[in-house]
Amino acid sequence: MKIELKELQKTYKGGKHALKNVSLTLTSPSLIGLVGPNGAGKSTLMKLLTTNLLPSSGEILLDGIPLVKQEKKLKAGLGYLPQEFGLFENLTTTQFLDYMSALKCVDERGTKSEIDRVITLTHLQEKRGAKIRTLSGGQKQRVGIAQALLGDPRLLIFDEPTVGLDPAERVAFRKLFTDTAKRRLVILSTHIIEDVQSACDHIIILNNGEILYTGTPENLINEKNARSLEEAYMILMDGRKIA
Amino acid sequence: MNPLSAFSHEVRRMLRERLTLLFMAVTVAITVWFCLNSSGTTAVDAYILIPSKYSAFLGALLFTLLTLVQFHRDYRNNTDNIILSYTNPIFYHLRRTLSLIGMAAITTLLSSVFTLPYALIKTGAYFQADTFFASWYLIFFGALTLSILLTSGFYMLFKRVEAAFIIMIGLIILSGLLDYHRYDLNPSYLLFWVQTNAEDFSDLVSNQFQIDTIQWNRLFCFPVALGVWIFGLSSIRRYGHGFLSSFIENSRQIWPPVSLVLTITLAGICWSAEPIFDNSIPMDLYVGKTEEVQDSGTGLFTFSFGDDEDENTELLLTDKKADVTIDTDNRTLTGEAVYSIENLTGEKQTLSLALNPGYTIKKAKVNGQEVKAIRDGVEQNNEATWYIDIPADKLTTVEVTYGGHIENNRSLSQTPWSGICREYVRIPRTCFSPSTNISAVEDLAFTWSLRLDEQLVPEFSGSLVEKLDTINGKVRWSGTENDRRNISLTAADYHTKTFEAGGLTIDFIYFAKHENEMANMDAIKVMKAAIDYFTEVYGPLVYRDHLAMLELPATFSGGYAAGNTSAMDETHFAAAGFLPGETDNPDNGSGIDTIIHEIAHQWWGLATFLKTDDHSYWSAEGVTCYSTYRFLEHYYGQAYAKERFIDVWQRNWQTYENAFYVQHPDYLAKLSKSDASNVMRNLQSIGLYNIMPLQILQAETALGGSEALMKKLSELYQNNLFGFITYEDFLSTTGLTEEVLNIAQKDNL
Repeated sequence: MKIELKELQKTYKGGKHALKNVSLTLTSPSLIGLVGPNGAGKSTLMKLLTTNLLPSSGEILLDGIPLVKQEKKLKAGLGYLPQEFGLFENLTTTQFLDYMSALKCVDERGTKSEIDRVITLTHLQEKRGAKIRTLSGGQKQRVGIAQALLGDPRLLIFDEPTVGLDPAERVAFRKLFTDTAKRRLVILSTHIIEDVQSACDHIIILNNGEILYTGTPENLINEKNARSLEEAYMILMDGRKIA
Repeated sequence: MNPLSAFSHEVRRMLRERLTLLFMAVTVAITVWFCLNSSGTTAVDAYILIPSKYSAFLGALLFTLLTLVQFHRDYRNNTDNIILSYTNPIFYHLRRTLSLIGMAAITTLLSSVFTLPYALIKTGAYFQADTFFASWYLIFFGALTLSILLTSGFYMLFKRVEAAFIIMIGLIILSGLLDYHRYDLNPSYLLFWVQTNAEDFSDLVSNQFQIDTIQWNRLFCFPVALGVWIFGLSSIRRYGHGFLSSFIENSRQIWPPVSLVLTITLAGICWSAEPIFDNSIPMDLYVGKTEEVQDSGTGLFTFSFGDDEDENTELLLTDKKADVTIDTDNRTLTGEAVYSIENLTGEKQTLSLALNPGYTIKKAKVNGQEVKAIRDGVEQNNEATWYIDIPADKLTTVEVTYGGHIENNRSLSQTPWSGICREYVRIPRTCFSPSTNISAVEDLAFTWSLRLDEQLVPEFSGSLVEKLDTINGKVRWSGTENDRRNISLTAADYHTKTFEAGGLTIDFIYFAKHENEMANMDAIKVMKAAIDYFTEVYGPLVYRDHLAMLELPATFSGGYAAGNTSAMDETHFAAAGFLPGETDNPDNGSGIDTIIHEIAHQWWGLATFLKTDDHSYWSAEGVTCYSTYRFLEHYYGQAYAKERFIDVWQRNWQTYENAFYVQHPDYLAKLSKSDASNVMRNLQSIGLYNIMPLQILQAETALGGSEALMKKLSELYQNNLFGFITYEDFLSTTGLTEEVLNIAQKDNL
């Protein structure tokens, strides 16, 4: 899978420029970290990639064809966890995943095993029969990740997926994303630099709707002569080295 | 995506929600409560129709709320953020709407677990499956479905929960207000989207005519609601766009705009091609014309005969024959009519024939040659006029083949009283054969024959008939009239009992299903007493050798007198009203009053014609109401009569005096012709039925008592048999003046 962003611009109604002339190429397999401060344009980019928004100008190509012309194809191979999401609180974890399987066209004969698979991957075995309204914030976040993984989609987009997870879970999910990215294109938007450093093979840093950096985390560290990705990021953002 | 699988998952999801189950349970509970607590004029009314109509209101409200919860909660909670990333929002909202309709269907089925056996037990032998289906599935389930479509449509359109809620509450209230104004503004029955305008279902005969209106109401309302829904669906905000851009974007898929156009077209067709009522222009109050029909209880009155001003004297009708067949399977009437006409001018003429607007002239021949019959675009008083050119020849024979479905008079009411179905046939005079306005020879003989299903017993108002033969399950009836008038008939599964009163033979014709009740209540006793009483105080009914007392379906909500027939609806035969000696409250429902009223019309309105005018409320109704009051005072005592008549008249008089348009008659001119006509009809009704009887009571006081006035009325009756009686005749006979009697001025309206 190859996604090309060509001179992408997005300006909201009030005149706010969320993205300015963004050009990128994202290829599978890869785990791409999307980093930037609040208001950098990360969520806008995610929404553009999932066709929840259309660009003001420029275009997105999916395998060489404009994304807008193959929305159906995109949705059929997409796993998406938005930053803000709700679940059907009256359903159990299994019922919710069953519902999502139907939406995501998971083969009905294989639905049960697919649900078992994602429940295992997200460590929800003990909560499979629990109503979602009884789950903690972190458990709901895991249910959100589980629904994205359903059907083994070609493109996975996670917007702040590890928010609300405890440290051990974050480590486990980083490994899950890394493993998944061996076969798929995974885009991870996060504030947590640590997640990106240890998991992503590629990083995109956005600020004020512009790309400040795109490349491997290691290159950024080396370029900025930093001791860590976090330090390199801060230098890039502030133009100074953190003591 | 497998659409069926996605839909079934959506249904299961909703059914797993406590809130959905709560809404469904409350709706079912409401249906049970209304079944247990509703009242009505008949058993079917009380235990089926009324509960379904009330339940439809609250059900529509509850499903409005449920729909808003389902749509808005997922948006507010950002559940849509996930869902809409995987699925087309148009199909998602389609599935969600269909699932809600599925919830409504399950709710209706669950309520049927109670409503069906309850209706079966309570209505017993009167239970009618089609009535039950129409009430609970077309009215109740229909209202739930319409509320879901409208609510989701408005929500998607405005994307604001409060806007959709306010509009829906407004629409539900509007539907209720239509009921409130059904008699003064006569709104189209197609607009009663929640409860429909069905009322007064009969226990004893098919309610098919009313079921027809329910079906058409739904046939109109459904595409309207669907149109709102598709419009909302087409405007779902997508890609961060606003209303217009989203609408254009969504319209790239061809089916939403095409469906929208189709539903709007379908709604338009249903509105304009509605087949139950005609397009009669409102009938303003006719003055100075002979009333053929005296209609009571409904507040409506029709005048359809005696207008000689428009008579065409250049042509002379010398003979008329009609051969009519009623097809109860197809619900049509077809006929062939032959007119022998003398042209008095020696020039070409045009013959106008008036037919029910639902009929067409399929073929017309003049002197054996086929000619064209041209229909006039204007419909008035439930008649469409057709024109046929007549040659200059002195003698001409015109043959017409006609037929179709009967259309009821829209300008009077939106309750269908006439029509044809397997169990019940009602053909008013305008629907039997084409009538003509040309003058007629004095000894005109209108000979007719009618083929009718043998299981239907017909009653021909005032016509002498002969049963000729029975062929293929149809009886051929025949008769001869001595003037241009058509015949009217009512046919059903009737039983007849004959008795003697006032020197006449009386046929009491009632529904077979009422056999036991009629025997138990001894209805004949009070009819006999009334006929004997009026014969004694006013004089004999010398113009007929027999009378018919006819039972009508509850839909008539009153009674009428025509020809030699006095008719009243089934609700007037309540046992309690006929057994005064056994109860302190002899009549709970005024039924007996109507029966006596319609009997009194044989003296006032049929044997004599009380001519209305434009300065008083003088008419047959006033004298008839007074006569009814006098008989019931004689029969049940003074206290009963005062409470049931004088007190009611005085209350209604006060209502009249306080009415806005009486206080401010100038505002009548500001209303549309149609609305002004309806308001006037309402006020006129109070004047005829309440104010004039009070004026007659005033005359009684002025003359020194009831006995003196009854003598004067007897004199008036006997001196004017078959003739007109004006208000001035009444005043001169009693020796009183208009100023003494008039308590309400009609002139300023």
